[in-house]
Amino acid sequence: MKVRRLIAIMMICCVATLVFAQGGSESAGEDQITIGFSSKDNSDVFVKNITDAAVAKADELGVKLLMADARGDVNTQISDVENFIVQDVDVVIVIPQSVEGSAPVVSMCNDAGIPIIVCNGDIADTNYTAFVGCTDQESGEILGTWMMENVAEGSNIAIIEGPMGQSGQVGRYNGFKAVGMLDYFNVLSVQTANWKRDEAMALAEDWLTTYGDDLDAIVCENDDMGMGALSAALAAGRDDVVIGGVDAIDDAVQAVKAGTYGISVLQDAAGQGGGSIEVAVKIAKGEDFPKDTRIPFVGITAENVEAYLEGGVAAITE
Amino acid sequence: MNLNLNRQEFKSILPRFALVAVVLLIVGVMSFLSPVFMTSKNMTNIFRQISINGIIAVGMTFVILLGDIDLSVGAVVGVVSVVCGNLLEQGMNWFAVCLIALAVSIVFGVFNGTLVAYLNFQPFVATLATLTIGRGVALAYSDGRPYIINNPIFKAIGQGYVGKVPIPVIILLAVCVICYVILNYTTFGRYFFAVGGNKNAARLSGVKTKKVEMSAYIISAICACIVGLILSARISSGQPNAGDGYELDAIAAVAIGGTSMNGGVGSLTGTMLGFVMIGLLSNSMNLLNINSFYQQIVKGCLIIIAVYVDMKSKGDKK
Repeated sequence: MKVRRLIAIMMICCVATLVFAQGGSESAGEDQITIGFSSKDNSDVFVKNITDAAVAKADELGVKLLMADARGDVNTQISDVENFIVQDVDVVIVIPQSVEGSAPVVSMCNDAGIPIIVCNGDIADTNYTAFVGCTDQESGEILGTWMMENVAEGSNIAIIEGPMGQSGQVGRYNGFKAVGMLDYFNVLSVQTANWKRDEAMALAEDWLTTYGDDLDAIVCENDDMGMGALSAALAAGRDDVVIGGVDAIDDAVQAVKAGTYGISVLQDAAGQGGGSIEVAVKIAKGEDFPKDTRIPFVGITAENVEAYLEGGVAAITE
Repeated sequence: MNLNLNRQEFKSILPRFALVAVVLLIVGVMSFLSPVFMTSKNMTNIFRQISINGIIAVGMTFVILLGDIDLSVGAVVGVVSVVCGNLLEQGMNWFAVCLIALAVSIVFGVFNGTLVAYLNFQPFVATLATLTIGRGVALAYSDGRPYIINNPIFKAIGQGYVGKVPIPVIILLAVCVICYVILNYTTFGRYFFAVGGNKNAARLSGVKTKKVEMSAYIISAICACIVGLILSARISSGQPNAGDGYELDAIAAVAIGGTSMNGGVGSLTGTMLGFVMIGLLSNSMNLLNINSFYQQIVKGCLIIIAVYVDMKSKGDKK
């Protein structure tokens, strides 16, 4: 008897979940444009900023947005896009989890005759309909140049990289190389912390122990990791270590303002998320659309941080 | 005596009726909520998506039947992926690559088996170590960078079809059938239940318990290898991070399927229902555009409910 009651409860729970979760999407009209958005990992603050901006823009334009989160797994991302294709969405937007591994989604969408927009990161298969994002190398160049201007030549630095093979990691490292930062300094160590704050913190702690006062700067490929390195440096009483990163997440900007964090290169998340929706809507309506939208990076430092906090991106880009 | 056994058997399959009911319920509710759910295209998707977790879960069932656990499967997937990627990039024949991958995975299985069966390590600790070693091997072997796979025959393993059925689904069916026959219709298969139920009693009655334990880990590793091949082919690249966390999804499927973590009790049909249910649920939630964060909560609750029903039904027996 008990078992039967449990089964009943279980069923009710399942129905409730599904029905409850269905929520507002029933109101979707027949002609409404539907966009499928495949995010790589919404637990990443920066990615979340992009997807939040996309959701806001979709609301504003009155289009239906289906959001799928691959949670950092390439296979899940491919499955997510397969689901969008079955749902016959009008446009697919994808933030690639991996330059190579996510590439099959482009041909899958092309085969299904669904336009595909690649957002934020590079993808190996360039037969996509449109691209909205940044050139990752540019952020590496801005960060590298700033470091070379603000840290003495020949100083000892360490570099914290993103997940090996991801577009941000490859591009930013190439940016460091392109401006000559790797030769300008004495690079003690290059390690990945997978965009993760805790991993970067552990890494920085180890470096601070190993190299002690010899370590002059830590260059991070994103701010989450930069914040981790900063916490480690401050905890070790080393406020002299110059640390910089990319993304301009809130606490990094606050740290720039407080003077503990050297530079945060702003990658305009809202511009990318909202921009990709705008392009998607244009494609769906059959209007002219830009095939390649590049949203520029800009470095936030002690000089312009006040202006940025007051006036947003527009105040520092012009 | 005979009657008693039948009753016991009935009790033990009762929770599986609950599983079937829930699976049917999800299908029923979803066909109302989503117009694309019952399309053949979506069904193809679901089963292709299921095949990855399914094959690992089938292998995992053998290990869990013994009361052991194999945490290293995800890492084996990663190692297989980079080995395949590298060898295919060098132009090796796809079949030779598969055989080498198989050999590599068997090494991991034997390694686990030796630690657990012959050196008396606790399975959790031993396979946790293998997981760490395996992931490290995959990263070191590839230097953290993904390989590109262009071999069309190899790619067909993950992307191809026979008729209208995706090749991964055919592989999944084959693995299920072979393992089902081994487990239920051979003496060797019955040993798993005997050893899992009472190791000492099995040994005293002449079962070579160490060999059974060793073969469980080898079967599990071979299943992981097959998944590594499918996954690499599906994402057209050899990724060192491939398969991260897959062990947990597989264990979840086995647990939902009613196999006891203490060993001795369980079935492959239960596991099959388990992974079908997880796959259906995650596809359903994606189609309904449910936030990925909530999806994980639902999945966790599902495990608790399923195991609770299972425990209750066994409790009634006493």
